[in-house]
Amino acid sequence: MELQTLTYLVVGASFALYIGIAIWSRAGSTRDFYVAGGGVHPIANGMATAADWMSAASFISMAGMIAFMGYGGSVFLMGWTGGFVILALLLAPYLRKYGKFTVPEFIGDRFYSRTARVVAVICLIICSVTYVIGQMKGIGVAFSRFLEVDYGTGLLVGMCIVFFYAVLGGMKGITYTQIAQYCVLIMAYTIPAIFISLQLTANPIPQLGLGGTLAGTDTYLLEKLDLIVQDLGFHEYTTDFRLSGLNMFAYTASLMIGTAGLPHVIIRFFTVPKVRDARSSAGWALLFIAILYTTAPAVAGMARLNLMQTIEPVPGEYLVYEERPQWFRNWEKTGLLAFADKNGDGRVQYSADPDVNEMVTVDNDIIVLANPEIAQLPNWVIALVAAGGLAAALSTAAGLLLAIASAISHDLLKGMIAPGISERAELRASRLAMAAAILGAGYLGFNPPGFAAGTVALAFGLAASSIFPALMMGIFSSRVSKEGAVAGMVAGIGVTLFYVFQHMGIMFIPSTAFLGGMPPNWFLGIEPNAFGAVGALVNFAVALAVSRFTAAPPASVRELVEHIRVPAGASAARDH
Amino acid sequence: MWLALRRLRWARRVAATPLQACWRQPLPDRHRDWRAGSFLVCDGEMSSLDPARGELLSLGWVAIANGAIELASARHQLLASERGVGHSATIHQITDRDLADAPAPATAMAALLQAAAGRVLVFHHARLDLAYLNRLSHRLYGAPLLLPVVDTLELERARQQRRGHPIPAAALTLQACRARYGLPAHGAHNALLDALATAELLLAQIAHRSNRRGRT
Amino acid sequence: MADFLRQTLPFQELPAAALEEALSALRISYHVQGSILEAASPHPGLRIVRSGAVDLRDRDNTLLDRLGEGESFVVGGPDSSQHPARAIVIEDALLYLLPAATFHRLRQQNRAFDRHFSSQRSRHLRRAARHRPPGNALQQKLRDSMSTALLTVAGSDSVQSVARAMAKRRVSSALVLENDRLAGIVTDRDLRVRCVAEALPSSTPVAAIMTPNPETIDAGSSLFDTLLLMTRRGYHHLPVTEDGRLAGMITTSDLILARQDDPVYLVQHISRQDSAAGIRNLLTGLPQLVLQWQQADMRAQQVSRILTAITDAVTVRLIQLAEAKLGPAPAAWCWTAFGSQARAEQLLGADQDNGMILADDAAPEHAPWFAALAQEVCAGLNLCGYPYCNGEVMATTDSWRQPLARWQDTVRRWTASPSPAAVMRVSIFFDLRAIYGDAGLCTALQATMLQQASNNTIFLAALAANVLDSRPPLGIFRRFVVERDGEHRDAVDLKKRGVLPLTDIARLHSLAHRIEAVNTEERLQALARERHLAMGDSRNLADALHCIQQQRLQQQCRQLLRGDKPDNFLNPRGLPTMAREQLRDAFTIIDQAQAALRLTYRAGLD
Repeated sequence: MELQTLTYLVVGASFALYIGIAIWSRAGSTRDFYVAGGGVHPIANGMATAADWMSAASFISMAGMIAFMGYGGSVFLMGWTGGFVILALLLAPYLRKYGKFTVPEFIGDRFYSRTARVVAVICLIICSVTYVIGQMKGIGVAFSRFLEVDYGTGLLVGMCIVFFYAVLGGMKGITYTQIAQYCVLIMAYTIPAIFISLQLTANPIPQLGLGGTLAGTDTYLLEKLDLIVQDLGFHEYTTDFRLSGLNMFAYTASLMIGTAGLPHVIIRFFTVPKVRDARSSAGWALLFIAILYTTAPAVAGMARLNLMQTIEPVPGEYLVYEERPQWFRNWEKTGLLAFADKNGDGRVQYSADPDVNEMVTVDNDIIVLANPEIAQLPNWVIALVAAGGLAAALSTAAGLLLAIASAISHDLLKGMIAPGISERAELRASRLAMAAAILGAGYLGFNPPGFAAGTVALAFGLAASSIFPALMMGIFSSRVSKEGAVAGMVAGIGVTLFYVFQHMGIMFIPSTAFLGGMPPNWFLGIEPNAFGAVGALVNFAVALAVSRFTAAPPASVRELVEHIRVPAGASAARDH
Repeated sequence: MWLALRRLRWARRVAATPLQACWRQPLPDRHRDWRAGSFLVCDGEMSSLDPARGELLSLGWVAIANGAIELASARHQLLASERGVGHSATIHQITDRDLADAPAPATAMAALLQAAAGRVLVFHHARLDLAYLNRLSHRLYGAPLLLPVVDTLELERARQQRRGHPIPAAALTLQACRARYGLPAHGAHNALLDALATAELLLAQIAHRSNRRGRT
Repeated sequence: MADFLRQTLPFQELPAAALEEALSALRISYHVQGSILEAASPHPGLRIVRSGAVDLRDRDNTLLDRLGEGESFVVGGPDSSQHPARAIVIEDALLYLLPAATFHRLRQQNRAFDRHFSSQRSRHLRRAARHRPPGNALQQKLRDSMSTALLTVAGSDSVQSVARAMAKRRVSSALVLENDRLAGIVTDRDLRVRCVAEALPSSTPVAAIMTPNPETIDAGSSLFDTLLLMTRRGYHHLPVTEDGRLAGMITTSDLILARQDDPVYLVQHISRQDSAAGIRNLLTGLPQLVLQWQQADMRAQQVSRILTAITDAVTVRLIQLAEAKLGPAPAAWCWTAFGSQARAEQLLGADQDNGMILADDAAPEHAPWFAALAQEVCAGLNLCGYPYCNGEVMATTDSWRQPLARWQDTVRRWTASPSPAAVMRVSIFFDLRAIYGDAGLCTALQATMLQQASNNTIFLAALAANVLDSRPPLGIFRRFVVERDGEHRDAVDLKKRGVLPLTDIARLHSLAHRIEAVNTEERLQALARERHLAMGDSRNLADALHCIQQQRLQQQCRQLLRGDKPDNFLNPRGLPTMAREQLRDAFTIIDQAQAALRLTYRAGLD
């Protein structure tokens, strides 16, 4: 069967599966269901959390980043894994004990201030929209490839589908749909990896294959890769730092602490009824996430090797352009892969030197999607990857859009601007907000500030500089006052946005960047995407300073803060 | 009005036929209350759904006067067939033997026209029945029937459209229409029983229309 | 044609010739819901219901019978006590009319045919008797309403001892007997007017102030005659004799109470019963009463308020009886109703949801008393037609019979970890109302609930998830989503898919905003008053509730009439168009309220 038909079939089947599960679980009333069954198993819930967690950035972009940046690309791996641990251990239990479902609710209550709440809402909306841009980029890439159209058209199609998916409720909240999504996603990621690992190293486990020797030889895979990339003038794959040690640290930290503030993830911890279940499902979720995250470096390394060997099958002998494989042609249609014959020899020269390099565009995001094609895997595997990528991108995008729509229509409109608004008007407002968010994110997706993971990193940076410090101080300090918290959040996100805009353009429109994206202009050599960590420090400093000069929080709030730091079990013991 | 003008055109041809006698009766007044109006509800069984190929095998009718069906007026007429019933027998259960001593179509037609005089004809899916009747009328009298006609199927379609309901074809069968008014199922494929079923449907349709007007 | 009609119509008995005659006389007409056929209407005769349904009523508009397909009736006629005066079409009906002249002729000519209709008529009458309310109350015999526990005294007894005896027995009159013969009657009024006002000493013999040789009435008289006599003479008390012997006493308040069909008096009657069996007997007529109320166009929410008041009265009486048996309570406590009884939203067939809140100082050794009381009362309720709760939400369950502090702990535990089971319980438990005992305990518990719930948005989110689980039964393009199979195929569960989601929505908002009201309508009003809901939304939800409850009540009444057990399933196809559209609107409102709820309490996330 032809690849495109097969792709439609597999993508269609996977969506039919999600919708089918959604309808099935709606029809069989969960009321009856619960009485009989008594809740969802932590393993199931862990899978659902993992599906929520893994976005287009994780699925599509991370391996691409690692493939092209080598070791430097692993900041995402470390950042996100660490972030999940911080969230699960440091924040979720306390927020849960505090009894507030959303982050703005917590901040508004803890800092006894509507202003604080509104600032938190606005920060969250900014982060979420930025995050959605990343997802839109991923969706655009996936659709442009599978519809064989250019990226812009793919993005438009994706926007429409995301809108309908979100209006339908994103099929979320139904744990079993998300379990299905996780299964599709992880299969789509690991099956090609296993195949390629077998091909290259004869070891079916990609994680081991990456560290193993090439099939039939004594050469280690990474050694070979280092050799090839250095031949072409790139940095050595395994030691390629991202700019500087400090930058890498800041980047990782920013991703790590930014994780906490994103609304769609933290809520997952509150939808489990018991604290104990929440902990064990967080553990399972970490395991399920780790399956993908540990596979990513293997996928990256092997894909890079395959790509290099396709272009330069024999050292010094480059691929003849007219003999390029089908996947090359397909990706050329999307505009995400482009070749320019600079020396006119009809061969594809790939080099780190921009003057010699003839692969003028190689978008990082195509790596995971093109990987099975490059490795000449069977068509159904390629189709499966498409389904997985869309599952990851759509579910995350829809979840975030719903959260944005609710924040705008409920927290801002009904909560602040027009309290007496009717439910019908509120619902209409939320639809409008959702459409506006999609349009906005879509527009910025046309003018992307970077590949999907880069944009997402920015979202995490913004969350890191605004929400995370406020949450931490809210939980762990009873001294921080509302003035401190508001000033801190505004300062944190302000500094970060300013830094990002001055280097990447206002609203990421490159022509408005007044300092340009040039590394020499970077503060301490820290790139904009990593600046969230600095913003967070600013936030902490400003908040603590302002709190020192303003009135302490009321006694009731201070008591509450002391109370939530006592573990739940201990308080129960004391009550009896 | 229009009907009267069209009749003029054919007037000479139908001289001294039962059709002319029928036309002599005044046309029912459109503006009068339906309760006083009288209808003749008809149904026919044919040997084919294609008027060009099939024949009319039987006719059934029943009259409505003063808002009630008068069973006394009910008639069932078989028509002598030239070509036989063919496969259609499975539907209407009329066999060639039944038709063996049936009267000539002219007799049945004359009886129908006599009953229809001064009445509005009613059919469910009038197009089909009228096609047959008009062909027959042409053959016998050289002119189409040109009688006022109501189609319960069209009434129902209009009603559903007014309410914005989508109308699948199956929703307009006699059975489905009747079900919508809570009328009992009727299984027979017999011209008279079908006519009776159509008559009941018409009563229900009229009752619901005038009822709604009454309310608003 | 003849065969067809023979099968369809009750003409099997007719010979062919007569059948032909009947057929040619038949007239078929169609009548929309609400049409009325009266004796005076044109075309008298036998009407056969081909489809639809018709109510027959007599001159007093009492329902005689309800006819369906294949049954026949004659409106008016020579003897109006046996023939209905009016027929009202309650479901669009196709009627076959056999004109009177033909009908009578056929009956004269055919005995079998005649018998068919005679027997049918007697069946009507039997049914009419069954449907007739327990008679016109005033036609009942005095015997059934008089009190037989008489206070009799001797004429020589002092006024004071008589007064003391009256006070002890809590009666307002005493009969003075002389040689077993009724010599006079003393009433409160006599004591006041003839003794105290005249400053007679308390040792005065009662014979001096009694009304001698009072008028009496026979126990076989009707209440109507009694009432007539008493009002004409201005009596408040009247001794009753049976075969010339003194048998009882009737008072004006007894007469009022005799009107059993009035809910107020039913409640009073309940409080006078001294056994569960007695209460059960009183309640046997309850479905019939509901039917009457519905036919008298009483609105559903009034009906449910009255039904709840009756349940309350039954509960209170059962508790009093149990207390009388077990002795006084060893500690303060409160009997609490949950769920629909607490919300005053019961309809027929409600099961019991109740619990006990004990004061914190109730000692462990007191536990058996409370357990025994719970046992007694719940068993009594079960006997009276309020079946045991499937979910064990009853005072007999230990976890629903706890001291206040433990209850409050339970509330805290549930709010802290809203497991599905807890959320399920909460939806019953957070609607509560004190029925008997120390209402302060109930108020304190409710205050804890509201405080815990309103502070904890994670808990509210879990509740919201539960609310969103039961969607109103509307599919794409607002089509009704009906049960696919099983006993209730093609029907909609009005309670589960309509009333429950709606009450859930009101409860959730109330918990979030600390509204103390429990009744759904009052909750909605309070929410609008305190500006948590737009006025329009609040009214829409209240209207939706009324609409669904009304349909539910009507459906239950239809089922009662058919002799079925009332449930909550309704086939929307069977409804008139208008009612169906209203129901659709009601469900749409619920759907929208749920969407808004998702936005508010679950941050729009699912």
